[in-house]
Amino acid sequence: MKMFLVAFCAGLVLAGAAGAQAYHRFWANCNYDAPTFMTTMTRDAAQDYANAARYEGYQWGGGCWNYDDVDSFPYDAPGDPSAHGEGGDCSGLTFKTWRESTDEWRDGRYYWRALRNVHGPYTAGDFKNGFGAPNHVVAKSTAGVMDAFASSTHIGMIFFRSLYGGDQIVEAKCEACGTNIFYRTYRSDPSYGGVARWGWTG
Amino acid sequence: MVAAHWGSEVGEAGLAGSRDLGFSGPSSFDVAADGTIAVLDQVNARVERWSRRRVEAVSVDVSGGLADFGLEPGGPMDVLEPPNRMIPAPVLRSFRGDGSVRWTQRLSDRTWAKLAVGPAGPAVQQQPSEQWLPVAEHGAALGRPAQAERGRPGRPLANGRELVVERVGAGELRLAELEGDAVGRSWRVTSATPLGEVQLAEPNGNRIVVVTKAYTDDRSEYVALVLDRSGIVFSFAVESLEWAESAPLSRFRLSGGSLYRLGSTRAGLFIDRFDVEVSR
Repeated sequence: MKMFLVAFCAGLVLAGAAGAQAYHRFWANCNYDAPTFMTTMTRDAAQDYANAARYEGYQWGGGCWNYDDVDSFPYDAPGDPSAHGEGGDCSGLTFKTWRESTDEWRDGRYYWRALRNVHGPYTAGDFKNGFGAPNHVVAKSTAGVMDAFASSTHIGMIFFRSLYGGDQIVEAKCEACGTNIFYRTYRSDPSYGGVARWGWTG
Repeated sequence: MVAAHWGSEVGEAGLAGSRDLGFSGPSSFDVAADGTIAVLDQVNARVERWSRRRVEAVSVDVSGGLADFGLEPGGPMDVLEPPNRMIPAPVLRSFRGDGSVRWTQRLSDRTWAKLAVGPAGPAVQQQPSEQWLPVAEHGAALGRPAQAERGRPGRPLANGRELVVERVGAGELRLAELEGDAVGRSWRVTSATPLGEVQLAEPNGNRIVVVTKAYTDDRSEYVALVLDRSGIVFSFAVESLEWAESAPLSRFRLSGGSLYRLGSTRAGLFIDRFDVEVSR
């Protein structure tokens, strides 16, 4: 009987582990390949990269997605990095789009494939303060295409400026929002600052 | 005019989010011709209507994203929703006054900036076309090709004209009232302080009321301008109190000669009214 109880408990533990594995299954598709060092980094290529991430979902602390235009795990718990769902979060999307290094002192250009699971070392607040060698603060009125606006809780990149004075922002805003392009008024919002990446080549 | 604490009871306003992710409150509002103020409380999936004597709530089937909102004459309500994790394109949902669904229509473009109720029905300023596209005419939804065919550079006005708005550079705002394809009246407003978005540009009699935002890197305030043929008749500043996020261009409404403003603080939501009817 004692042996049966031990086996039963071990079975429960294994069943729990299988459940956890299922909960983390999108990241099972991701890889940890080295980035490709690039000599160029253009704003229109950055637009293409971020635009391709649209519809791929949002994951707090995440940075891995495919290109099937569907959020594979749309109902992960908001703010839970252990959900391991599809998509980047706001700072992860910006980090990958801006081709940054995981070493804060490097300002080179590093291309990360979509399925490369990397978030980078920066929070939205770090970007807002211009932390890291590749990043710097800019006046909001001068921020242009693929520069960004960052607050202590969020960062979004400028896809285009718009007629009514707002901006089309490409961003990973929240679990329910996914990653997409939205019209925002971050430029005039005092809780947001202007930030940019050094090293654009075109 | 309205003050509501955060909450889910009737007379309260829904708040979503967290300190880490930021907060969003009711995303938009509108004012009916009789002065009733309707607030889209998308967090609680309802529209709340404040009239002089009471407040009532009507349930509406919305996704909960930051949406724009408009009241049509006679009671229909339009909710302009953003894309979300399950619906990758923006949609306009039209509801009857009791909250039942009239129709739902996908927009022609991928992104919207603002909803306005024009003489023939709801129209939406969309991107990347940067045009005003009607989404319904005389109560019937228009398909995406029909929207695109009817796109115009300006917002349609009740007098058959249209109003074109263009923010240029850091501190310049251009407005033009078109009669057909000809410019009837136009204005060029310049500012030494950078100008942000244009929250509102609407006729009020033979004048135009404009609300834009002046900003520096760490401060901002709204500036309301009343324009006529001679230029700025008068202007005043409105403090920007936006503790919780709302839809981008939904902070102000003009109704019955008064300007209404949606704001929020840590305690809750409020709507202020400013009279803009003055003689020179």
